[in-house]
Amino acid sequence: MQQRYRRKSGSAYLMALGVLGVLVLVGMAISRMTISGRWSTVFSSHEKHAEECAESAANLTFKIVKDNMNDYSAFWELFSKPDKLLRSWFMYFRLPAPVAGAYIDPVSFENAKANGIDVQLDLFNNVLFKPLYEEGIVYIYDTISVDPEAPLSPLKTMFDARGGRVRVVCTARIKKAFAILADNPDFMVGGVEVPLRKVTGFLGSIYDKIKIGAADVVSGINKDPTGENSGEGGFQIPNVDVIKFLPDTPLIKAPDISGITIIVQGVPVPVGILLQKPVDAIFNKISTEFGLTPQKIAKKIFGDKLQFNIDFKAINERIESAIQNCLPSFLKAFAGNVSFDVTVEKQGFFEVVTEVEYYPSYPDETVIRKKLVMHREFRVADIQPIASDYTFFIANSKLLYEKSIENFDNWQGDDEIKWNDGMGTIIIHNMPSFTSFFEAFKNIFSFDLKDLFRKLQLPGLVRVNGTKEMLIKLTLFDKWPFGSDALEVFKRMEIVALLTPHKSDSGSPKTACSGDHPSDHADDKHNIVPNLKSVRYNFWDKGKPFDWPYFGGGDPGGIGNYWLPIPPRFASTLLFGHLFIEFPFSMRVEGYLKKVYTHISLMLVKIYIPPIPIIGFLGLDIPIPWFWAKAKKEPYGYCMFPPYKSDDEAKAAWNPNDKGNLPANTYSPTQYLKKASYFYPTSRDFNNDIENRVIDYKGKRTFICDGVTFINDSLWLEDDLHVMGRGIIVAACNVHLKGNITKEEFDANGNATVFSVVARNGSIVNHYGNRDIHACLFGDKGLRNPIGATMKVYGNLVLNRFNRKDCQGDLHVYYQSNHCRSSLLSMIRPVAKWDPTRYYVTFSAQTAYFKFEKL
Amino acid sequence: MTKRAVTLVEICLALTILLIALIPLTRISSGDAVTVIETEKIQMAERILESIKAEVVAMPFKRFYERIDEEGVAAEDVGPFELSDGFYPIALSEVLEIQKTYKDFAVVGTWSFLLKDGKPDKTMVQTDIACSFSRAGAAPPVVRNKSFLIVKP
Repeated sequence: MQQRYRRKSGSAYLMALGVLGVLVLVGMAISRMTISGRWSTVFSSHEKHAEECAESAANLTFKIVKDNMNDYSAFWELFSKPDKLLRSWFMYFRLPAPVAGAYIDPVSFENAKANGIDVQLDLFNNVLFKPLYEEGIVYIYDTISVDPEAPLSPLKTMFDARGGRVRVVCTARIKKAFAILADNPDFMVGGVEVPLRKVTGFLGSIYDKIKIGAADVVSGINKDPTGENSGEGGFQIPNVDVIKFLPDTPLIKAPDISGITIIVQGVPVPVGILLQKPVDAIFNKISTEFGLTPQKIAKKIFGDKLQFNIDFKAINERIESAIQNCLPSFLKAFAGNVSFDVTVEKQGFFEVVTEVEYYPSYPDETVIRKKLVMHREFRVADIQPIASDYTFFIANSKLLYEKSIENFDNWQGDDEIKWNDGMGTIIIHNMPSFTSFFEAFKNIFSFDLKDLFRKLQLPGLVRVNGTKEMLIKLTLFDKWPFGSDALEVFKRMEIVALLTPHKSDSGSPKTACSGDHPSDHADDKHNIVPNLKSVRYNFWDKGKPFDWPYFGGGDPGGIGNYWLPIPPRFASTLLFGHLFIEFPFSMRVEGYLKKVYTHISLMLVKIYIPPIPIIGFLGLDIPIPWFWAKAKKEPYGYCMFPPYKSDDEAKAAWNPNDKGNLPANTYSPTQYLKKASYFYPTSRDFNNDIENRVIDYKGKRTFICDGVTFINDSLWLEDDLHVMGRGIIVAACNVHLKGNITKEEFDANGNATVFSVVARNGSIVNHYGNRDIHACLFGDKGLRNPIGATMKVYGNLVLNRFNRKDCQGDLHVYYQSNHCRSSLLSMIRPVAKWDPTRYYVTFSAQTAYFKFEKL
Repeated sequence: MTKRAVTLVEICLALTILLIALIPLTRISSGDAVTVIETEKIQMAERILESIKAEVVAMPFKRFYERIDEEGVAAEDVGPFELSDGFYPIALSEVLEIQKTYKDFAVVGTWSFLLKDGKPDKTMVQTDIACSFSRAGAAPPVVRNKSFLIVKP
């Protein structure tokens, strides 16, 4: 017991100390936890600051890239500095890239494309471009060695407010890129994936070839049906004197009837001499009042500034020299390559890697390092309008359908278009303004490169695909030109079509005009001045015939009919514009088209009634006015510049089943969808979003159209729309126009607005009203314009199917060359695809990847 | 005499030592409680700052233009302008909820256009937000800051 008690002595102290120890330990633990929690909060605050710096720097880097990637002005200024151009963001996105694997086996690859899955681009194939993709472009900023010129310097205030030192390194580059291919491997984009047919005639020397060094690089397949642009004797570049098309001699003069005599009672009565004076007086009056010479009419229509000489050779030389100087040397190797295996269009991911070193208590060496990786989707989309060198293009081809569902009625294309069906007048103004056209030509040598590319107005071309002969009646008057609208009537007069001779100055024409010639001689000239011949009995006499634009006479090939001078009623189609002198650049149409005119013979056939002396009748001439009209046809256009040598050539040349004849730059619906920067499921969504894409510019609410906008629906443009920028609105179905579309000619940097509206699988539909549409239009199923409505398109018009009957109101297409092309370079076919200015780059608003990674 | 046990003196002495030792422990404990609350407030502040950031970044950029138009600000004036409640209505309700418990909790913010090459660039906005609350005694208030860049899309 004693032992036990001894063992327990002093236990109260021990217990107290034990409890105390436990409490101290608990207290310290709690305290430490609290302090470490506090410290971790404080420390994480520094980390957060470092992260904020990284995020802000990354966002600013994206902004720098975004600000520069579409800076066309910088592009022009960097020509003289190829190294800088190559390392500019503008060029960076527009470098050609091979479709991975395609260059190994193009044939098998083409058919091996997996539907809906795009193929990655090989960014590292080119030695020159490889470092750009590998290393990217780097921006550095450090708060202790501030460079006020540094791109990231706008962040100075923010970084300074952090305290300590912030050092940021941002590396920006394309991470991955994919080609934008059609789902259907057989679908080809003309001018981008397959070369186009050679342009007709002398224009080939401007559009189809480019001199790279000493060699000519030529693009263009098949033969030029005129033979001029196929290497047979080289290009013949004319110096066109329009005055020859527009003589200052009256179109109508008093017929010479002075020799006409009529026997009355056996006595020849010189009625001709008696009637000649009053007839002369009447015709002089008409001539004085209306000034009926082609030249005077032209001046009334186009103004006194109308000049008559166009030196195509000078134009060609100027453009050629400009083009040679502007293609960046690192792109020259791609000239002439028009195939799917190398592409500029791409979509992919753009990466900005930001590394931050944050010293919260600098110069204390405690540093927080952060690495932020951000990705955003980008798209490089071709915004060159469809068939940009054409004023008017009818594709007439089933090849424009990517999937069978688009061609729901199994349309085979190659329709024979009835050009004079329906109502209203279609007028294709290949030169929007004669004044500006000639002004541009006058200044062609004084324009600097940038202005030349932006402002030069070139005439557009006209194409109608088809293997079937199509007839277009020439118009003289759709009504007599009396009254206040006489000038309007004269504007539609196409007599100039018959005025040029069949023979050129340099001798026999290169291309024979294979039409119905008045005297069966290919070099014969149409006589357009009416004359009257008096014959006896012979109703089959040729008389002194003359040719007028269609003024009756049935159909070509028929026997004709009695002619009454009453303007015939038919729907006019004027492919050479007003007065037939707003001609296409090639001076010809491209199509198996024939103009129909009327060959008229005015005769006074006298039937002599012999004398019957028994009743005192001494004989009498009964004059029968025998006016016979017969419709004839010959190749459309000027006789001096026929569009084809023979019908066989014409049938083969513009076959719509030939991929080379497709309108350039027509992408499939899937491709438009893939490269769209904006997607709207319905038209309503688009209309609701317009307000978000509008800015105030020069006092107007201006819709900024950049890149491709895709509406998976019919588009209803309910109100007027004023646009600026470089882009395309693509509607999957129809485009309904209930308001005007106007444009800002140039943006603040002087870049021309290039804007297109595409009804990819539908029609362009005008809704009851006059419309001014400043846009390049494409309508797969044609264009509908109601009776009484006048639609004016300022840009160009491309249609696939075309039913002339659907065009019941008047339609004017004014070609505006500098709003239909991104630059002059994009018109020259061997290098058109490589013109960097035709591509527009957009970033997705959403961040695709955002992660702080371990260093 | 042979019976040995804990005496009253011993017990009193042990209790005294224990009590003396407990005083600093209690102090540590109460100080920690203050720190815990502060830390909690800091975390709340960070959360609020993050919420405000998310809200301001998601806002249409044109709201900045509308705001300077309303206030009739001169074109060359880049700020800073007050980041008023209207910029972050959702985060504001969160702040108000917190203020029911911690009345000293306050949020203020400014925004300004950045200068690029010495000129105002109205496509970039720097936003600075500060969340503060007071501390016990004469200690200065705790301020948590957040700065971020918003770029016009």
